[in-house]
Amino acid sequence: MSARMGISLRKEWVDPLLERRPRLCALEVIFEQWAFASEASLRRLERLREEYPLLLHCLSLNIGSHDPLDLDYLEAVRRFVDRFSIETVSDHLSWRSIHGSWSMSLLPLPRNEETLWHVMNRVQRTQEMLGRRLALENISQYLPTPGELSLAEMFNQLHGQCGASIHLDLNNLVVTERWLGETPDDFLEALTAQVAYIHVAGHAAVPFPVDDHSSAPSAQCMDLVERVDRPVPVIWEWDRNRPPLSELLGSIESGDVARV
Amino acid sequence: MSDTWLSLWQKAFFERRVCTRSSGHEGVYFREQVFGALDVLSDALPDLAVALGEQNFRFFVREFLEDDQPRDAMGFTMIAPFLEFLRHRPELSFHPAVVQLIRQTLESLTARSAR
Repeated sequence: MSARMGISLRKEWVDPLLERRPRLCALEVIFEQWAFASEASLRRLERLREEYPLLLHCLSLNIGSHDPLDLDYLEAVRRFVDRFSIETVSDHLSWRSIHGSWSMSLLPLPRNEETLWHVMNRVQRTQEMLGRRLALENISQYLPTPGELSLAEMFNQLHGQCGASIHLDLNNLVVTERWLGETPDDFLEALTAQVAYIHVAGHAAVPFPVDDHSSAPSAQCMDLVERVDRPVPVIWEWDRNRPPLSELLGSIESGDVARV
Repeated sequence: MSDTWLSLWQKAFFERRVCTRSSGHEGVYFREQVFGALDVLSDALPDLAVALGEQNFRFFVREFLEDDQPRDAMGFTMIAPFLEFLRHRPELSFHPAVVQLIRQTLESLTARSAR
């Protein structure tokens, strides 16, 4: 497991990582954190790129929205991935705006043919612009949405029809199960789409869990990693209440990632 | 771009779950989760006072008050408009403890911004 583990990069970790150069299979870079970074910061990121493969994770592609694709945003992403020689680009199978009004959250999509074709069309245009295949992440879903397709079927068809892989977030499966009753086992069993990479994270353990990346992954989440029989990077997200980097790296080295 | 079933569905979802006159146009992180919680919990337990509970409400308020709300990952939050929005939800008007908490939080925010 440790050999497959990487972390979602925070800006303050760049220098310590350059100094320590710990064994990590990849670093995930969040585009929005670097979109307006200084040239000096970008040069430090280039130095990290010499040491580690980078995976680019975006938050604002808005792939499921009915609003027009933001071509300026896409062009900025393309320049970034070209500069850092990044092959894997992901965002979420979700939407964030309608008629130009934006939510700060990743909103769930209906699961029907109309939505699927809408997303496929936008994925194809995005992939043409980026010159790369896109990976789409399953979000934490707190409300049921209409439709006759299963979520796994949506991902399978996106892969079959336009080559988009899934960025598989196992914590999101765990959270969604508690809200909607859809089990991770059923999802993983039905999933045939290629897996680009995996997210593991913790969630706020209130009676109904919220995906806030505020703790170590649950044991259930880490058990699911073993269920995914694909040798892809496993990226640990930790956005809030983060422990020091040294503790995080220590947990990865020892293989003791799951929250008890 | 012409309206489709999907655009109409997204518009209705956004109006109901994300954007209201009292909350402005940009939405608030977690807002639909809060109302998802209200829906799910009230389905499961008709007594919202029991279902929502002070502990849960405090959790959601804390989400909005924390300085390290994941603004670097997901954007900023708008705490006061969200609380104003909550304050006018009819589901909560019957729960004096929750309304009191909202009022206290708003007062503390106002005092903080005045300093």
